Amino acid sequence: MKKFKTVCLFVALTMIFVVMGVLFAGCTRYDETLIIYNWEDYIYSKQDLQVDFNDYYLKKTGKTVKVRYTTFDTNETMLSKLINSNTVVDVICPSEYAIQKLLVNNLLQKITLQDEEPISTLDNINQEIYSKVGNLFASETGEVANINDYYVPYMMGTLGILYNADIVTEDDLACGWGLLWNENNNPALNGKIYMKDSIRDSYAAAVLYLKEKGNLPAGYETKSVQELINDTSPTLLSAVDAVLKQQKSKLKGYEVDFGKQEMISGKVLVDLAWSGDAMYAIEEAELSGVNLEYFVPETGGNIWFDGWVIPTCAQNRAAARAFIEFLNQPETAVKNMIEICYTSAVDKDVLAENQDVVSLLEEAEYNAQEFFADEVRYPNYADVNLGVMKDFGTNNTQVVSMWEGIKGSDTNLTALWIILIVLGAVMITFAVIYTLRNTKRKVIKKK
Amino acid sequence: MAKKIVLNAKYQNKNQKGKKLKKLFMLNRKVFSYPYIAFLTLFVIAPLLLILINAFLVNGTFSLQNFVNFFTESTSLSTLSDSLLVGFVTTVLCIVIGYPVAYILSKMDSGKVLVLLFVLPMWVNFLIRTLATKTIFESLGVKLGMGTVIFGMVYNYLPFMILPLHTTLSSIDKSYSEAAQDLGADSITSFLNITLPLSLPGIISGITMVFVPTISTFAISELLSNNQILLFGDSINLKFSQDMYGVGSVMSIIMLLFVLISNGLINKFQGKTVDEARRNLW
Repeated sequence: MKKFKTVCLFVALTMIFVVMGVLFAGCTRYDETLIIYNWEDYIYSKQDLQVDFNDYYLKKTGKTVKVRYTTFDTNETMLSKLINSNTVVDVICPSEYAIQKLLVNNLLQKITLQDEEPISTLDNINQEIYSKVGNLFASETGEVANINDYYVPYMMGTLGILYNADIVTEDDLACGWGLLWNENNNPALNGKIYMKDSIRDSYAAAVLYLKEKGNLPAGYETKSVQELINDTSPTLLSAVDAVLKQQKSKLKGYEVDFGKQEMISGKVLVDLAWSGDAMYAIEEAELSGVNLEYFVPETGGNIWFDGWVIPTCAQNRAAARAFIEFLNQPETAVKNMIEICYTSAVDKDVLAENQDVVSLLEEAEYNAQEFFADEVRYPNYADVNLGVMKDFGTNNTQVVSMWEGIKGSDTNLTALWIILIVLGAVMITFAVIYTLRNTKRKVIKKK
Repeated sequence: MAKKIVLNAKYQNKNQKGKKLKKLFMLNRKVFSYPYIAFLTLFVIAPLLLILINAFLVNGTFSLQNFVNFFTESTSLSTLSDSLLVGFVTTVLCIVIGYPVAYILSKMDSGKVLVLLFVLPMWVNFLIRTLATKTIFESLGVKLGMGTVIFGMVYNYLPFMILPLHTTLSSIDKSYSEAAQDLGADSITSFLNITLPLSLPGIISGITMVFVPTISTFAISELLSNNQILLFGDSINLKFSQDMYGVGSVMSIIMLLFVLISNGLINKFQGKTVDEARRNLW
């Protein structure tokens, strides 16, 4: 027995050593670690990234660095993780409103402190983005361009409509946002329209539809797109509620992930989409002979920016800054654009002048001139009709409740109640028959 | 063995702490329960505690506001009633389809093999099955909605109804109904008076195994309706993803109440015969 235990102990210890050996072998090869916290599928190949960034860092500092890549699926997940727990990450890529929220919670470090050298590639970035986001959040905090010291823009995109150009007609398109409501009553489109299963985006689409039709509640007509898509006052909320409920009968459903695929295969004809997803779908559909197009209606739309920030919990500030610098090199920016289809914040003139960029684009079978002239990819940032969405704040509960009301609406409930009543009647009949038989038996017994 | 344990206990009492500590790390039978205890604490007890704590927290302070929010919100309540309705309809359909099947199978000699055929689809992951169902409906041109959701639910949970019913029905001594028929009862009477009451434990465990999971499902209702139908499970999911942990926890507690109630029901019906309780589930 004792011998058996000794053997067990020995085996266990050996296994522990082997496992630890394997683990440490992986760690010792690099001098430093950089922990990235980013959206899923929001950067080019991770293996290449490790190699490329390691080379870059080695050249810059003489040290090797291990890239640890972690991901989140919504800004809210990221925010609650950062605010409520002691996560350690070095560099994060939230959207503009989430950056603002992190800033308010004192969770961010300045990108460049006084005694640090500025990041060299920062000049490559399109300055219009800085001024648009800076002005927007400055009016809220009272401090001009405060937010701009805390983030570096990474990618941007718009919210618009992806449609099947073979079937959707000019008249349908003239409806603008009304296309999602099949305003033109094109019979081919009924039940072939997808909305986003995302509260913020569907809310924005509904508000813009109200504006387009001139159906905004009294007092809201003069407001700008920017103000409207961020307004969640009860009056506007109930108007949005009404149009979204009215839309439901025209829809195929709500999606966040499978819409692209169904658009490509032609199962669905109209989809509320983000520009990057739309670009991807258009390219894929071309291969299978389906003609997809994307547009942001004239009434206005939503534009968003994602940027890199360094949180206060960061342990490797130097590597984080080097990483931001690395990402804003023209070659890295264009690699990312080719991979994920969204628009890099690096200025298009800087990109277009770079010969490496042009050859990279040609390698991926793009025409560089067409690539940079595309209005879907490069909308006019300064356009006042492209609004930036902010956090719904304390009104979030009401908005979520409205959304539940729309998705769980009672169209099918009457049918169900009828089934229930019929079933109830059947069961009662059975019960009556059963008891009748029982009493009969009792009568027989008494005889 | 028993003597040894008694001796061990005496030995332990007499000795000092050091030996107790040594005993703690010895390989005895208790050691093998530690992984399970650790698992239970980490994945069952800790989450339950977290839900309980979150339900009473609003911005870090104790409050009943979450309960007030839930019970005054008409949309959450109607979602709950929708789910109960869907759960009820699914359960009834499962009994209506499942009972005759289980009854016929229990009469057949090859019943065990045929039951296997009903269980077979359960070996395929339910998400894959549901996605396949969706594709079939779409290719047939059926509009996704409440009907397809209920179909999906029944399809997924039918085996959970058939299995306990089959076990109970096939364990009923045939001589009971034979005796009833000898005494002049026709087959319907003998079924209603002998077989049905004796199979009640199976029906009850079948109902709980279908009803409780049905009201908390969220993937089936999302996939088979293209997100157009929101059930209680979806609603809880939405609350947590929107960072409304408080209300989400309250809803989870309500879910747990349903589980507890149905467990209580099972115990009540099966407490009568210990023998029956043992073979009720499968």
